[in-house]
Amino acid sequence: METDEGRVPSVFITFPVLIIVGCFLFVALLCGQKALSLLALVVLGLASGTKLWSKMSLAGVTCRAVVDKGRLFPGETLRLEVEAVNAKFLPVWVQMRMSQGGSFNLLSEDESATRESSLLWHERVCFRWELVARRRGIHPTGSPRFKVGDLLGFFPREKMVESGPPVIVYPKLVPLKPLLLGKRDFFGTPGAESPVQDPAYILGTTDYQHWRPARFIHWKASARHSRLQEKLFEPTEQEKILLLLSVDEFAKNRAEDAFEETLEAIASLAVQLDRQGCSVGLLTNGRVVGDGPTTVPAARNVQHLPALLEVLARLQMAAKGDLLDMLLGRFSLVRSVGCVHFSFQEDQAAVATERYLRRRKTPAVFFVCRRRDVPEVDRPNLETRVYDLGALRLNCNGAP
Amino acid sequence: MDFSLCRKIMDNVSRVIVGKERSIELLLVALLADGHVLIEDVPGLGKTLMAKSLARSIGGAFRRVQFTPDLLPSDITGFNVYNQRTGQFIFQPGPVMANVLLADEINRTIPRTQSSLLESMEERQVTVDGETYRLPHPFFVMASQNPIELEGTFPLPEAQLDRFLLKITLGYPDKEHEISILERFQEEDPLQALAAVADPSELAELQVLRKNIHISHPVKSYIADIVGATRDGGALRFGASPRGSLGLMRAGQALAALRDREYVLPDDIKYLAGSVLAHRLILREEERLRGRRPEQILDEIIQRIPVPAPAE
Repeated sequence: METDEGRVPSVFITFPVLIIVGCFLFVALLCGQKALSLLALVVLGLASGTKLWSKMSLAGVTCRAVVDKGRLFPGETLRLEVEAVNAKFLPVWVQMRMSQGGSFNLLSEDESATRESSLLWHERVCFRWELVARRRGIHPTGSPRFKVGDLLGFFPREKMVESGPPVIVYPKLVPLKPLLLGKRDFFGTPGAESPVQDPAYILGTTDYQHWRPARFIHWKASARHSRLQEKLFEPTEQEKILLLLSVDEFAKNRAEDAFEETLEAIASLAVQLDRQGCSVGLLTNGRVVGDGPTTVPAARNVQHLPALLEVLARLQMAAKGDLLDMLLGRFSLVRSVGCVHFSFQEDQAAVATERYLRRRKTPAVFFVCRRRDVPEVDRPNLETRVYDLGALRLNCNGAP
Repeated sequence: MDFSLCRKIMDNVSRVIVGKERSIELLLVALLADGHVLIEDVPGLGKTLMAKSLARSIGGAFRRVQFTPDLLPSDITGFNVYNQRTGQFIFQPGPVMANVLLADEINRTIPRTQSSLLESMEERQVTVDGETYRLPHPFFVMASQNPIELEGTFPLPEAQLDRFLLKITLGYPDKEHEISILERFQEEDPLQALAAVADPSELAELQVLRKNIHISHPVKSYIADIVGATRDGGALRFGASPRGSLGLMRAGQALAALRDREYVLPDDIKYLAGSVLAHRLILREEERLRGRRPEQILDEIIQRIPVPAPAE
């Protein structure tokens, strides 16, 4: 716990006032003024007594902050509970103050950011605040400060509350249009048009239709039902989508708003694709706050989407390498994956990535935040579909 | 009431399964409560081995079905075959006609086949071509599934999940237990030497005796409070069903019996609530995105609800 030795003395107990009181005492003793001497002694005694009390007040006082949610979206509320315990016989005065204006705001404007209480011997008190998350990121929980001192509050001492694990605020989810991404299926379209059927994914059986090839007949099921049954197939494998985010141009252009909008679109798209049963992954060349992975391979399980959203929450607008190098290097891009690429504008890096994906015959869609104000002839030529990021949002006209 | 036979079964299973006393105890709880168990964990932790050890310890007919995508409902329930000699259809029973059925990797098969177990698990019977056949008693289903990768799997429907009394996870062994496993399995498979220490009729009697374990009104009220709190919205989209509260009561009676008590304590209910109720709860989408699990929500509910005092 960090101790702040700074004090906020009362106006009656300030050093100049005490000097004057001392002078009064001296004069009163010289003149034999008993009443004035007594008054001056009381003031001086009170000052030294409360100062000693204040010095001892910090000992045995502990403070702990807990939050009811570790992860939330912007605009959602969080309950912060700060518990102060006075584990000694000396009563103390405590004041808790919520610092505002950072990542969290108080839910109600009427609610006070400062709370006070007195703590008797071995007593505890709990202060609660309802906070609203303002922006994406990894944030400490409100950083409440608390002051402890004598019951008269003459010499308060300040302490920082031990902060618990940081709160993860995901990017905001926005409604999106359905994304039509061409996909490549090695076994063709499941069903009669498929050149090859994958026997591992039989959805079920149904009555055999005479125009269907005989190879679809499920002989075992036909024998049991005493009529011909044919197999119904599941898609060969679940659709895999890899979301690519190139951070370079955002950082160069200091486009913070565009970066946040892009992250919102990526998070929303990941959630939308997950609802559709796709496996979603993320690859970015951005830096992340703290330890943790920067990429999420395309997969599908219970903890996958929270992990992807956490990477987006931790992401900073600073590049740490080239996205294409990452694609070519340690990240193994599976053959059946489709890609959605996000960048600030149509730059050379996006063109190189597009060429690489086209050479691999990987279906891809490109989204940019800003079209460059350059003549058509000078503009990098992306042969794949390129859309403005705004077109992805539900309330915008145009493709996709 | 003498439930020492259950202790013998637990000791027998512990000869094969190392360091999983709680899981083995929960298996016995489900068996005594006449329920079924879903064992969920990553591959290689001994889910199938535990099920086989228990099946061997309690004797009776044991069947194992490896669930695959092309498995048909009739592969589970059985089917009618035309006998050319007699000119009649003869019922060919499926693996469900057993005392202990191990449904291995149950989420690898299609929901239609998964659903074929619904009637068997709840009503202890199967219906094939309009004819109903009673299952042997006791009938105990142990299903296993891997929670890590969902690709190529079919999550169990809610109706199916609700029919499992308990969901058990095993977890990795610690270092000492890992060494014990290596030593125990170094030369021979202890499962091969495992003999039955009970028979199905004895277990059926214990299941009847379990019903006599006393459960007081405050404890019943405590169960109702916990189950009711799961239905109050908040982080949960759907709470536990009355089948869940019945399950919690029966499991509490079984645990009390296993621990040589003739009455259920609120602590029994707290101990079992996660295993009995968590798999019946459905989270809201935003809670799922936050990476929260039903077990955490249930823990919060249990912390919030006051435990009945002995004098009440």
